[in-house]
Amino acid sequence: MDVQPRAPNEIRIAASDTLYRREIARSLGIHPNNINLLTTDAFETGQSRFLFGFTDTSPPSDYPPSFVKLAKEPSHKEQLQREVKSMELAKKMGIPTIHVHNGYFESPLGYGIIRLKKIDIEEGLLLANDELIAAAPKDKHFGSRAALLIAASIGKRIQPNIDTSFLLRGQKRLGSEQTFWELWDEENQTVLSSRYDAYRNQLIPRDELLSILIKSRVDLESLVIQGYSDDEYFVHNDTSPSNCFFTNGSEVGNQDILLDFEQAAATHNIVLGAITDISDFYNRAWANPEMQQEFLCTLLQELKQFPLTDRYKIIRGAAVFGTMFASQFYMDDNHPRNIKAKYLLQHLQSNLADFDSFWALQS
Amino acid sequence: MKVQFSIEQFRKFVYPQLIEKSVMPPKIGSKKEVELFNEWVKGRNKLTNNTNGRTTTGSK
Repeated sequence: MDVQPRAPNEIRIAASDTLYRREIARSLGIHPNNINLLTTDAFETGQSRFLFGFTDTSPPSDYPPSFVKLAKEPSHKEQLQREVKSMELAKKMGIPTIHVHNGYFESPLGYGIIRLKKIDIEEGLLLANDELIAAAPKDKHFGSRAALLIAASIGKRIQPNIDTSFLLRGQKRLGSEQTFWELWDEENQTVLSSRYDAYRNQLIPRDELLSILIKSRVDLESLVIQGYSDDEYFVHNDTSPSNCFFTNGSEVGNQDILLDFEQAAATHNIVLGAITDISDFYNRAWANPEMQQEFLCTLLQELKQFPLTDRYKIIRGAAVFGTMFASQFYMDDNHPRNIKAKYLLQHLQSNLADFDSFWALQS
Repeated sequence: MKVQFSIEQFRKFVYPQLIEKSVMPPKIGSKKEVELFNEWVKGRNKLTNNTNGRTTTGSK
């Protein structure tokens, strides 16, 4: 048999793979052969902060198959700890998310490891990127299902007697009324800048956009002030279609789960928390305006933490905030992600019109 | 404009994004893989048609 010699880099990656598998196996009490690491190359070359793998267990181990995430650098280990603690907190508060088999622990050589329930793509669907989001069929109601999930996670009060020091705090959009409006002004100034006039006016006339922005600000101003509390509220802070796992046979959404709590945060303002989680999902669903519309309309029925009129204003304002927040980064015609700003601005009026029609039926 | 995409491109762009979310990608050659690949191509064509041939892959 003709055996091709392996390149030194391949040998190094293979050796690292063996080392990591042994290290994880030693910590979990399973055999290294039951661990399949999928990103050793990217991890070793520094392209990925974390090493990802799955365990496929067979006797004598009684471990259920799981997902393993490993970190080497101190700052990444810290992120891993925050992520898993946030996930455990979310679960305790009744937010549907993935089961944590092992909270953060360090291996004998000092690698940070977490072990979660493995999700198999055969069990459902993750709209992992813009292409899958764009193609998502309307009859699967992913927009509605995501709205149910996100509505269930908004406004969860954090018990004051538990340690939540791992949650992010003080971010501009969640920190205070003042920092939120500063951000609002900054993003609007960028999108409305005269250097983008020609491009932006093809998508939405300036006067129309200004009128939408003024209405949203008027709607949100008093609500943001009223949203303050001595209590703190949990915020996912990174909602997106790619952070929702839609389970097969769960068309009403009752088994879908929310993923990726790496950015989880706390805020004293329940309204800013809601705006953050609604606006992130809305702008990240940019490739599928029907999904965006369904998301907004379902939230209007489901976000029962707020009275109906307030709910309407918060959801509408969040869609506007999300549009401007995301568009500001992609306004340059040569930007490779320019299509995102294009879609968001182009569909803002029609999405709001659809939402307003739905609101008229509800009110 | 219809653009051809290969299953290798699909695996390269989509699988890492599934894995980092703790989702096990479909088995190579499985019905689920073909189903997902077709959806991804549909989405890529839709987005590519709106960008004069520019693609968006690699983005979140």
